[in-house]
Amino acid sequence: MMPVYLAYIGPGAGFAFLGSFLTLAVGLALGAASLLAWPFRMMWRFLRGAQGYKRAKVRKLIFLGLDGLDPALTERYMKEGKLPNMRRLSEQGSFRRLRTTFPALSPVAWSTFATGVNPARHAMFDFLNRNLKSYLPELSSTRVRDPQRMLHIGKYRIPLGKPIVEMRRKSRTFWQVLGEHHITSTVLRVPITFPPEKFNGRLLSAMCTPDLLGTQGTFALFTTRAGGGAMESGNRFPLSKSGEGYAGEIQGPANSMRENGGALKLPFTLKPGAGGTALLEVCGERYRLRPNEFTPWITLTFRASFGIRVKGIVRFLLTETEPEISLYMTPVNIDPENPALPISHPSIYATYLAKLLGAYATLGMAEDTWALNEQAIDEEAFLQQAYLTCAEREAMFFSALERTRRGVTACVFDTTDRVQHMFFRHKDKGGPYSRTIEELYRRADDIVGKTLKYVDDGTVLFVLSDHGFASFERGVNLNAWLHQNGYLALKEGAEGRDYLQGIDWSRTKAYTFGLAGIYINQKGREQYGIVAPGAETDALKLELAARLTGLRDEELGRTAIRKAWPSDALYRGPYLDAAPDLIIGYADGYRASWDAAVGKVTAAVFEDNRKAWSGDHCIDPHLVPGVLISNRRIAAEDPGIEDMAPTALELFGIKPPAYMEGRPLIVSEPARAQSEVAA
Amino acid sequence: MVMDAFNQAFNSLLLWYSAATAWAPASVRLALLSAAAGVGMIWVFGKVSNQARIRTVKRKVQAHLLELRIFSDEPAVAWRAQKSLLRANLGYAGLMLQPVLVLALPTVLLLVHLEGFYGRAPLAVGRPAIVTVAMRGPAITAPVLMAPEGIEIETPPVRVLERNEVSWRIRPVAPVSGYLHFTIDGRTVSKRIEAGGSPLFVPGRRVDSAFAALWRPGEPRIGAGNIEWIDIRYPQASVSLFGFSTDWLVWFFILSMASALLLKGRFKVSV
Repeated sequence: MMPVYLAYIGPGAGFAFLGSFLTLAVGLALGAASLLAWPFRMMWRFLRGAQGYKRAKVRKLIFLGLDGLDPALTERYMKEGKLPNMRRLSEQGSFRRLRTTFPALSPVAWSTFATGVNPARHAMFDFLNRNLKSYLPELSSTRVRDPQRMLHIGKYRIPLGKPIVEMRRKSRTFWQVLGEHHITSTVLRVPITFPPEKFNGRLLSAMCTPDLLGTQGTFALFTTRAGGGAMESGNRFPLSKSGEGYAGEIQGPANSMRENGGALKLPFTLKPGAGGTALLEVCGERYRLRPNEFTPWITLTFRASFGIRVKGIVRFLLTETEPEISLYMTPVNIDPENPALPISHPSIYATYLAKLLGAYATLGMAEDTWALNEQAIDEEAFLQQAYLTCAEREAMFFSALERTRRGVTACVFDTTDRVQHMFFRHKDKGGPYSRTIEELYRRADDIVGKTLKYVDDGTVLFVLSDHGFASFERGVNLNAWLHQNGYLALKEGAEGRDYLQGIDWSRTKAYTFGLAGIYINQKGREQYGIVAPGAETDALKLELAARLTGLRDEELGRTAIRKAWPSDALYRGPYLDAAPDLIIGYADGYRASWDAAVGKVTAAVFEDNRKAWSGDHCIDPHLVPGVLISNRRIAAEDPGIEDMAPTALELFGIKPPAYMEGRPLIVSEPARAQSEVAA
Repeated sequence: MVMDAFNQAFNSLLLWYSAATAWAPASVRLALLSAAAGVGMIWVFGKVSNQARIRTVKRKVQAHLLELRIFSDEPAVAWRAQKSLLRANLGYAGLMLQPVLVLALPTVLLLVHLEGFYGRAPLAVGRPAIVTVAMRGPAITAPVLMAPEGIEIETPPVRVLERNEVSWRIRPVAPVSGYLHFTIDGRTVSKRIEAGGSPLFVPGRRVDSAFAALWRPGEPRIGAGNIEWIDIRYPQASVSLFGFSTDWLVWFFILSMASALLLKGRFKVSV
């Protein structure tokens, strides 16, 4: 019996033995299947006439997106020797200013990057679009709805299907076209990729991926501080005394399994300890929190009815312990290991990355700019969070590069955008954050340096940004201007409120919300439209454009709007009607005010921007071009972001489809190859 | 002495359990015990293993498996994933070493004790069996066997000189739970014998050395200078559960694993 006994020593050995054996068996089977299928796959491609890499001019194409990297700042820091890798790359290849889109907004510009078309063809004009019936703003990129069929049993609702997640960006991406030719791409966190579309490659969704609550990011601040006023974004929850510590409740997603089920909740306790630490107990686990130090990602499991569980991940930050205690919690991100909504293609890709590299932020805008705006966290905490997110992205990007022998790898880093948004007010002003943006650019340069290790003669690298940056000192409320100038009317006795509430549509010709421009309240298009389409609308657009161009901020004696363009002068395409009718080109220092962005009519047209969000780019696009740096020489002097998609196709020997409006950039052979030819 | 005391304590505990659950068939008793053992082992496993590293390495294993699917169009990546998978697996096996070493002794002790409860069937009434005494050296006088009522000694002692063993063939003629007495060179030692009926416990070989007693714990050590062990060749028992009849160890393996697997979440243990 002895050998038999020794063969089984508890479940540990049992699992180890069985687990290892099964894993190896499955691994070998998958590997063998992959190898055996390879010739058939090749045959199938051949029979279908897919050209694959036959006509490719390059083996690998890398797009390293540094959102918001400003050309002027990049040039300045390169000159000062602070960005050695970008400088080397520029000298070896090219440095260009990259024309951005109208408006210069990330969802718009990156959609043009992906599709090679102008916004009227991909239908992304802003973060928000309006519902033509209700005038309520809607997320322009995505729509998430409950499953179509539900089984109702008493107070319970059982979904008979999955939630419907609809991508509202139109047109086709270059990676879809490449995939059809069996050229694979790995696309990481390129904005407006939620929900992920099916294609021959791998993709992780980015901007506009919601949190578990279905919002674009709702943080929570649990605090013993009384009052404190309402927050524009995020939620403040009380911490109540409980024994030696405090108790609170985390609000999760709505319980969709019950009629009017309300939010799923998770209780937690917080016990202050020595040295400003605290012990957090949530979901049956304990975590020692250190002051001003983010926890790793913590999994929260919300239990709905019938044993259904929804998982999310959060980081906590103990922001103060004495005399009051406050605990910041990030928005509840979709757990990448068990995603509640599709966030990658193939669906297991998100899980794979989480298992390989650890949990990571899945929320579209992972850096919590609103928490800093609302002073729920301070600058240090924001930077800590931003660079933690950046590190996660780096790990994914380099892991993808490690695994890419050929094809496309595209990854966008948002940290460059978010940190500039929040620290522009400090730039070169002295004080502790005077050099934060410089440090940010240095870090971006490090990423470029690490990327260069994956670049060889058969690789084209594009380091690019979707737009540059400017300061945001004054907000312009164009609803106020329209109101003061008789284009917008409020209901009798009403005040302008968020989301265009209080507006008398029967007397309103034009209105604004979002960041991009002005909409005409057009008859037959808007529910209560009063301006006739055609000549009347055209005349109104021209009138408004003329009056707004050169609009002055008399208080400061500065021009606030450089130019306003009727959108039909900028765009051509089937979705033109969804565009703002006028695109506003604000001057440096100005932008749509926070109130105007949510459709509120205020008394004053101009107001100081007092938020930490002090840098922006939603101004005249001519003022905020992006950056394009490549290891190859680029012939075009004035490349545009719409040129990137056709360039990607051209580099792999595929003729860009006729609908793509960008033109392939002519990129020369690597510098070394040229010198060899010259010799 | 220590070994005897330990064995006796352990055995008494199991006897107490068996007596307390004597109302249930052996299969149910074994199932309950296996489940409890699984729970105990998973708890110990959780305490003595590096849970954080196990979780990490398991995630790596899973990642590399997914990698094989995700990069199935890239043979080079798939091949690299295979290698990583093998490495991660070895790491996983390595992490199991510590808990396995800690659990080895108690688990083996439990298993060797349980052998007497579930592994051996009593001698069948009417069917012959062999009884053997092994000695360290040749006996000076002829060994004598005295059997209790109900056991017939069918043959005189048969010596195997090169192995210093003496064997008898016996035949139970009635259910018996008693002792065989052996007189060798003037010293008498006994060996418990079970025949017929449904005894809770059937002791195996009775041994002399402390080390051997660790693995043969059914009866106290012999303590007589020349006798090394006394053995009755019992038939092997089988346990029938869910209509399947097989060795108890198989059921123990399955049931303890299953209970550990089911409850590992509750104990927050990763295996």
